[in-house]
Amino acid sequence: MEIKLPRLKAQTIQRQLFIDYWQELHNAKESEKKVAWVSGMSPSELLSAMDFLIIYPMNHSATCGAAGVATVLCEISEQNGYSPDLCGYQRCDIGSALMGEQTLSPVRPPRPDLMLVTSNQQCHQIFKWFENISRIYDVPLIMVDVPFLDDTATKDDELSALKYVKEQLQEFIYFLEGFTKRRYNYDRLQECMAYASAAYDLWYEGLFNAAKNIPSPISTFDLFIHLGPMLYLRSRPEAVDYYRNLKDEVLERVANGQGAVPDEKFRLFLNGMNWMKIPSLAKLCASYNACMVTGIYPLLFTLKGGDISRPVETMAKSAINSLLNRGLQTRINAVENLVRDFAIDGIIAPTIRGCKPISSFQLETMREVERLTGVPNLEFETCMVDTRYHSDAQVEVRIQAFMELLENRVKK
Amino acid sequence: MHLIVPGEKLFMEETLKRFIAAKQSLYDNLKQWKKASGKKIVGCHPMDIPEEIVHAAGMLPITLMGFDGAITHATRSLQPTIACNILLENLEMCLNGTLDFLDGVIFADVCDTIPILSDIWLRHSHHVLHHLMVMPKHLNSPSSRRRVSEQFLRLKAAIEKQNNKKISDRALKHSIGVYNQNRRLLKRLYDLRLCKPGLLSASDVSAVVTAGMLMRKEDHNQLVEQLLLELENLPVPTSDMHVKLIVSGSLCGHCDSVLSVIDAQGAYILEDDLYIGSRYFTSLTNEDIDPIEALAQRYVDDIPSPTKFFDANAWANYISNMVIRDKADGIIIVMRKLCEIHADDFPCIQNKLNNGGIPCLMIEIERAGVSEQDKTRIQAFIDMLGVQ
Ligand code: SF4
Ligand code: SF4
Repeated sequence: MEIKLPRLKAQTIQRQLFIDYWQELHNAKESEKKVAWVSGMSPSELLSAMDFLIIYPMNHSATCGAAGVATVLCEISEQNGYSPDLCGYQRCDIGSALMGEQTLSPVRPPRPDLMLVTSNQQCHQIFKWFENISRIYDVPLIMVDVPFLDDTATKDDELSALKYVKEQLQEFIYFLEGFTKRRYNYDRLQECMAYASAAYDLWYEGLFNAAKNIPSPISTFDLFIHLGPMLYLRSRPEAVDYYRNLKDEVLERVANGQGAVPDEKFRLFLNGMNWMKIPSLAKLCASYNACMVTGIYPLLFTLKGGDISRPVETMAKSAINSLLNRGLQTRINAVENLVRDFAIDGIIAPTIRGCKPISSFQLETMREVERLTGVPNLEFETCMVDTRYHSDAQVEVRIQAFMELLENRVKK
Repeated sequence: MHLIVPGEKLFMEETLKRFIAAKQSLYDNLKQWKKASGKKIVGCHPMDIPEEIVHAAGMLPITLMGFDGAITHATRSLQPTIACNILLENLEMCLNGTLDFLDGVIFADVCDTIPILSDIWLRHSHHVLHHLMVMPKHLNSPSSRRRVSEQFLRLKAAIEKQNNKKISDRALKHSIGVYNQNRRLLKRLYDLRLCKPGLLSASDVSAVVTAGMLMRKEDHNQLVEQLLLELENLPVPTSDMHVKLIVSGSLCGHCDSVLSVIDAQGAYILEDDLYIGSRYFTSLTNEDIDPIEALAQRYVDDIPSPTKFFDANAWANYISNMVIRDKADGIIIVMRKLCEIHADDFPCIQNKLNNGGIPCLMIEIERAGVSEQDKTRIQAFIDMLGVQ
């Protein structure tokens, strides 16, 4: 049964924002702007303040996935020696870069002048991925290493990590001054951070938190879709306007008691990454009156603001404090809290092939959260973008069985 | 396969057997040793642990290198499609009690999964010392290089806290000396093999290095010295008939299944770039400066490593120079399945070798070792090199 989910109007606004933004990117040469490719958790404000335009390779791969070209791009990187066991985002993006002008990518990202990678989530692949891309394009790569704070980490470890990240950010600023042959613009940086922080607060209240309402006015699908401006535009006033509108729209739904799925009966949690199948999964769940109200990913991905008069310190803190950077116990606590706060009935926990930083937490976290809260989970394997490693039919069967399990629990 | 030169090998065979025995008994010997000596044993998860610091505290550092038994517990915590066999095997040994005799474990976060493995381990074990070294993910800034010594100091402090006893600079310098001695002896063994290829089979060399990772370095030094004495006096039939290879990779564990195919095929390994091989012992530590600084310096200046993220080119150059310098016929790269740090550097290495016209074969190994199909590929590769 195909269900049509009510769309937020903001989605249309977003489409136009991105058409304009990509236009700007493609005109970068003419307008003499530099393009930086940056990883998801990077403090891109540092670059925006120096007029760089930003591209997120992981988001690019997700776009390729949605456009149905990711699998071919993954195959291209495999033909060039990349193992199919590497994460799908990486293989897809590298495949696109290897194809150069011929890329099948729907957005055809312009080549970078500079690359910046930040290593939250103890992910090594992201460093290597960026290193490989920087080699393909022969451009400088800056690495900001954010140390993982495991379950044994002490306050001292945290402080030394903070100091280390601050040092690296400062080193990066010096590098940027040399690279652009301009003094670093700290005033602009504060402005950018102020927009980003306002956008974050609106996103948090208007979108993330709003899902606590019963019925939930939004689903994870909305959460993911509306992360886009947070990534690309957060250093600009447009982002603030965007999230203000979005918040108004969502709160209106709340006021009207309108849910994201018809007759919400079950509330689900997605313990996984951004994933090509989220739209279809959201629909599939909706057909059982189940709404995926939240998940771990949006929390991993947003940078909370702070004192903008001390920009480097604030950026370093938000990097260190990200959940991505924390050990298993912290992850378990976070999921447990979300499950309780959002009145979750079941957890959908895809193991994402190749993405070890996220997937390695999965089994222990799920077992422990189930023990603590009694909320059951559904595990299955898939890939973020590579359709060869995903079976719709299998997932449908599994979801159906899971929904029956939830039904039976209600009856009892 | 052990090369037999009639009459003269018996002596050496005896010495070799001791290495092989140490390797085969794996952790059993250690339990006995611990009982007898009353000393503490610390398991080091591969790779990049500065064992000298553990040694200086009077404890025995050993490398956790997996096991052959059944895996029944570990897959409840780490998916076999996510974690390589070393991670699973070591976790299994933690969960099934095999490693209960350890007084501590130390990890360095060399790949995506190890830091999480460490946290999982922590939840299910009761070692007094549990330590994760969070190493910088690149070494190209002053701050990241400083972080190396900070992390070494942090490890030292953790060990001191557990033992309630300071590690003196003198003790640490002494340990560095013992380890340097070990590194020099193994280097001599490797030099000998390079001059007289075929003197020792690849499997034997692997046994010699492996044994050293499972016993006191002082004992290992004696044994290696003994072996060297015997070997240096052995005449070796020189022959140009054999295909000469370099083998690289096999991070975090052995690749004996690959080595034995090479041995059986009659090819000689001139030099290796294996973890259980030259990667483990190549760089010496400076004995004249502050010991922690010296260890950090070695870490930074060590041979190119996929764990340290300078640039895959550096590793590629290192390997291809090895092939050219040694006049090898080709190279076999052994990649552990699901090892992302190796997989990600491989395309760059492959390019470099291809561009240099160096014949290269990549073999992926899993828990069960090398597949039948890959055995055939190795044989065909060696045959091809033999014809050329
Ligand atoms: S492995 Fe996971 S966290 Fe790392 S780059 Fe790929 S998708 Fe991102
Ligand atoms: S072989 Fe690779 S994936 Fe496995 S533990 Fe070692 S570094 Fe990690």
